[in-house]
Amino acid sequence: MTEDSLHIDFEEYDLSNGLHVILHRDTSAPLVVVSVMYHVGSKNENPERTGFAHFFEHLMFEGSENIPRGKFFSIVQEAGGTLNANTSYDRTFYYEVFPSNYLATGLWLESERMMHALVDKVGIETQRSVVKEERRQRYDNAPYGTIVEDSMKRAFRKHPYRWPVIGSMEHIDRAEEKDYRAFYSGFYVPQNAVLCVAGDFETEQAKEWISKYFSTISKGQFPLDSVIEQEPELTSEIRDKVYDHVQLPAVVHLYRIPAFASPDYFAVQLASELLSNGNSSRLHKSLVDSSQIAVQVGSFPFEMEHPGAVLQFAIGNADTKAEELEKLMDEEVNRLAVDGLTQEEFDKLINQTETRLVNEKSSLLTIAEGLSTYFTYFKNTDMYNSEYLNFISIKKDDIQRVVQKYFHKNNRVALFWLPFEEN
Amino acid sequence: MLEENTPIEDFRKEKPLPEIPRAIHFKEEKSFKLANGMTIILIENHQLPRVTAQLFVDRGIDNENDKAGLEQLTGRMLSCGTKYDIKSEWDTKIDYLGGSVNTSSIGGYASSLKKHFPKILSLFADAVQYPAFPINEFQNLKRQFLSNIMAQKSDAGDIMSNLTKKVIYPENHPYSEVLTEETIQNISIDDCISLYEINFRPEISYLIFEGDINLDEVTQLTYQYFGKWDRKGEVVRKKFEMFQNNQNDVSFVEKPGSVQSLIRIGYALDYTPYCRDMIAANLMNTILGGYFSSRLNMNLREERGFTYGISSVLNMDEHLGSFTTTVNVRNEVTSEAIRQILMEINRLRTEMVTENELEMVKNVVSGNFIRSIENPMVIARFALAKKKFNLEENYFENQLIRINTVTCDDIFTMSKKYLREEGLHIMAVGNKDVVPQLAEYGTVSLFNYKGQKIDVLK
Repeated sequence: MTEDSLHIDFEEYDLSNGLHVILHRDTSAPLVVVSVMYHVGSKNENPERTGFAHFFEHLMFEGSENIPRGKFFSIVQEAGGTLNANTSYDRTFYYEVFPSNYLATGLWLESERMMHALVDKVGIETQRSVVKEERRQRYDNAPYGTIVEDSMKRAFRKHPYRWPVIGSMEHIDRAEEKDYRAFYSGFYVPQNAVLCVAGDFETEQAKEWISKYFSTISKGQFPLDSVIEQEPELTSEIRDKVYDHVQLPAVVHLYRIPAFASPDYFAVQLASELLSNGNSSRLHKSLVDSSQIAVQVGSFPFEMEHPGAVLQFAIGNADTKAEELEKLMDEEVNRLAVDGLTQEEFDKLINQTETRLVNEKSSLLTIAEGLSTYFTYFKNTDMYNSEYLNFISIKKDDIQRVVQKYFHKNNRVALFWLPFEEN
Repeated sequence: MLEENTPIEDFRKEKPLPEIPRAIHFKEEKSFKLANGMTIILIENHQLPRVTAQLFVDRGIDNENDKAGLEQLTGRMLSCGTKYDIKSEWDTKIDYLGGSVNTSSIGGYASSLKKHFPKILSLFADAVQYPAFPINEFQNLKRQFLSNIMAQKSDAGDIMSNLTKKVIYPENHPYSEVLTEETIQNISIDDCISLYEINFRPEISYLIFEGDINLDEVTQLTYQYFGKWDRKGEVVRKKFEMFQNNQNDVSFVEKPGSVQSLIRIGYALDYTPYCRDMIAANLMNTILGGYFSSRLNMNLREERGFTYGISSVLNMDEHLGSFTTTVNVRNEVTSEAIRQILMEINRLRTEMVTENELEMVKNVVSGNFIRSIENPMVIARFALAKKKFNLEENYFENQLIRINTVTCDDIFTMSKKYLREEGLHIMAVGNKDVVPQLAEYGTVSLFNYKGQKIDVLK
């Protein structure tokens, strides 16, 4: 029964310019999602010009040849719709959610910015200050705000995962209009994009509009010649201290793990959940409830197209030392590597996964993003429907095996996150 | 970026016309009462095999005085072990079924896949009716609360929240109470037990089910798990005076190392849920700071690049409402940001909005409403509001019509009533170098991170 409710019906095809189209019809509510995922993220950036993919997330709302500055937002808002976008190391995801009678409007908007977005000085200057404030607000001025940035830059020395998605202030300041134009014409082309329409629509009508608005967008020069250097394996632990404006010490362990959806990935995800998902999870029980030395623990794998990382952390209680936190974190991970897990714990992981996957299916937007992601990385949309199978085909011993294989000292960055001595 | 071979397509020049909108369909609610007075509400939704139950105890509010934090601690203690299970066993049972259960001092929720729901609901029912209040878990929780209070010192948002409580609400109001080390230390396990006894009563409780479940199943489950919960009698609900401040003031908390100022301008006001003004006042606030193209966001973000974003909130509350607008800006533009916010507030108070602008926010607010009712939890909230505030049966079905009938005159009336020139509190958290910029708006009062007044910065 669960498998039935987890299955998402869709159809897909390519336009002659290479744009991939995915349609998922669900008429239960009079709403429709129009989304475009571009296969460009921070890993496609020039190391001297970091933050471009994210910067485009801002620029792409500025307008187009036919949409004057500022109108992109108001057209969506006037229609009672909503819109946003997000950027990762690997891809950028743009979307609108409309009352379903505005499907054509959504398609027109996305086609306009794919065909000829407004990339000019005025927009660049405005968004430059906005993005710098975003960086200050979300990272520099937030306690523990640069944990990911500080651990990733130590775990990756060659691969572009070494710089943060938001980019550096310096690069944002230095970039010029021509740099942005080159980036736009290089990556924001139909054969590097997936259009997904999800929700309440008539299929033939949707296809007709998609053809009308998207089929005349020219191909551009993709693929660009860009070689991404593979990151060699870590050979020994990288250890450091970071001082921040925080009150409670924290320990961060960033382990290198395989790419999203590669054979060991889902087992790593389950191992992560065993460690920190729920009050009965290993790290929570040991650090927060039994020894009571931590206020919060977590273990999260990043969904990355190339081999990436899992972030484990613990934030200590007021009188705890980082060394004590690390000792118990290591004890729990080692215990899992040596003794494995019980059948009951394994069943729990499967039950939790089932719940999580069912919950994800409650949002059209999450479904659109999931389908688009699998096509973007693997050219195989149906992998979205085999996620549940992937999880339930994992064996109990696989979890112990991946913990041994990836969660060991020589494969990690260990950071002590410590309070500045403030007077 | 027009390429040479791009065809001229005239249809691109104009935005497409919408089709005829599809009718909005309201999910229906069903409700009944248990013999002990507990109100049960059900919204069926069989799309996915999952169920959520939310409990709301309509207890009103009360002062915590020198025991601020008592409500929060008590709510958390309900998840710390029951008559039948110690905490770790209770946690393990819930996690094993992939469910989630949460408790607060006025209710909680339980949710899981349908096949595990009866068991998850029973574990939640145990927490609500038979909490054990073990002393060792109480000590651990207190310790966590103390650590979290300490952590607030580095979080501008937490500091602002404390400062807001102290500055905008009158001293004797529950909303002015801030958790500190001292107030947490003052709380005993017996305080938690007494508060629990006062708050948790079936006759003032609403239990709302949403999901893949029908009336028969709900009837059976509620009878089984909540039917033995005895009445405890009516509870006296406290009344608090509405309050209005008439003077402007400026408050500041230093957070060392800040690269941005967190600014908030606001005040408490009389604005109660589902009052007559609600629709028009909400449209008025939307124009000011309630959507992306709001006046505040267009000015401070899109025109000046001062911030990642600014919004304003007109918060309705039966005990005391508030208006606040909040923004993070780089240190150098602190004073100018405040000037622009005050200017925008004043502009809305003194100039009539145009038909076009009103039409735009009507669409925004209607769109938000249409999208929100697809979420069954929202329908659950509506069902609760109808009961709690005695709204007419088809109140929410008429929401779009009410939005549409608001005029520019109505907006003008609302902005004069709810926006102020006098009685504004200007609050900021940030680097001490910005204090001279704040001084342009009046004498700057200094506070520590707990919202307590201090004489000088360190």
